[in-house]
Amino acid sequence: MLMTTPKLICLRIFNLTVGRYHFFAMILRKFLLKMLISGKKEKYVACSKYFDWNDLNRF
Amino acid sequence: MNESNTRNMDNSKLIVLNVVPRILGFLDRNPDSKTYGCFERYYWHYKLLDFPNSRFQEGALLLALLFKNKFDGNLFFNKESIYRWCIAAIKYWAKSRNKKGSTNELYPHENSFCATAMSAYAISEALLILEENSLIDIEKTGVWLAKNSNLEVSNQEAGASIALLNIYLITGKKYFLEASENKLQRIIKYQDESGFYPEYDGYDIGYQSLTLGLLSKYYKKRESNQLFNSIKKGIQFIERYIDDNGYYDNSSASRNTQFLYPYCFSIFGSPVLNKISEGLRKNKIINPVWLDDRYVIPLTIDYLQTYLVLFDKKC
Repeated sequence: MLMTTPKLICLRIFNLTVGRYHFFAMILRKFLLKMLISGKKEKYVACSKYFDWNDLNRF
Repeated sequence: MNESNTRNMDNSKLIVLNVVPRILGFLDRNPDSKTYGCFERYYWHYKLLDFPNSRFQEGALLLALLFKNKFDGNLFFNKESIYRWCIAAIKYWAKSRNKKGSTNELYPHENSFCATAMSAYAISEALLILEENSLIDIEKTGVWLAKNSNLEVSNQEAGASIALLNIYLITGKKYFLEASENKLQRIIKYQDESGFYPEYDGYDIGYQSLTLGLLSKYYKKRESNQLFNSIKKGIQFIERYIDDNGYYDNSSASRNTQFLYPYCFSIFGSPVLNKISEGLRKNKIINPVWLDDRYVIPLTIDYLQTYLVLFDKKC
């Protein structure tokens, strides 16, 4: 799932309004965890997918 | 000192010294700028982002280490500019926190536990190195860390634990020491029998090395048999996976990381350190030079801290 402009605008509106409050900030966090990490076969991990020499042998 | 330790030292040192000028380029070094001290170049220079990621401010610790430690090739030792930039970076971190002391990494008002823990460790460590305990109000971040946790992710809890220990050392307030010890006890309690610290219900070698590095830093400040045994068990877990070039297969790990933070192996004399050195010599394994802007700073700091441990042993 990639970021798009409409999604970013919605996220920012949320961040700057109800997202300032702990309860809603936690809802967003749980939502993002569910979308990106929990139960996902391929979890989102920011610090990954760097170059590996084995990548050269793929083709 | 044997030949392989000499090699280990030179590899880490060369990598760090090569990367430092790039990291300094991330920093707004103009004292007249509103963002003086900000390390997030995409924010203050490119103006592509609407807020800075607080994790970039960990660069303050790199500057403090370079300023304070004299070693061959370190042109940054005792330089007034490095000192001033470090202070500016610390102040910028303090200024850009949320009201309750937490910080943001991905979006405004995120209150990120990870970013708060890791950046608070780096900032507090920089304050201790420079002996500038009163420079900023770090207590409110300590209170926030004490009240929050992320038990699913051991590396973040370890970061919070050492940050709280540092905040205790800065403020002298026992509340932070107790909070630090509570987090440490939970980390040890949830360590798996096989030795790994859970990362979203599984093991991950890269994050295991990061957790072990943070716990080793804790151990250096406050030794205990319980912590020693936990770290040893954690290192033995990793040792099973690392080949002779410091490489490991990450395909079955919970988070698929590729890096190794070498600090813990230097403190506890693990053979993994020689393997990492061999991998660096052959340019086979991920290291700070390979990393993107977002993650180069913490790994560079760990490499420098590793070098300084080995340098001290030599001396």
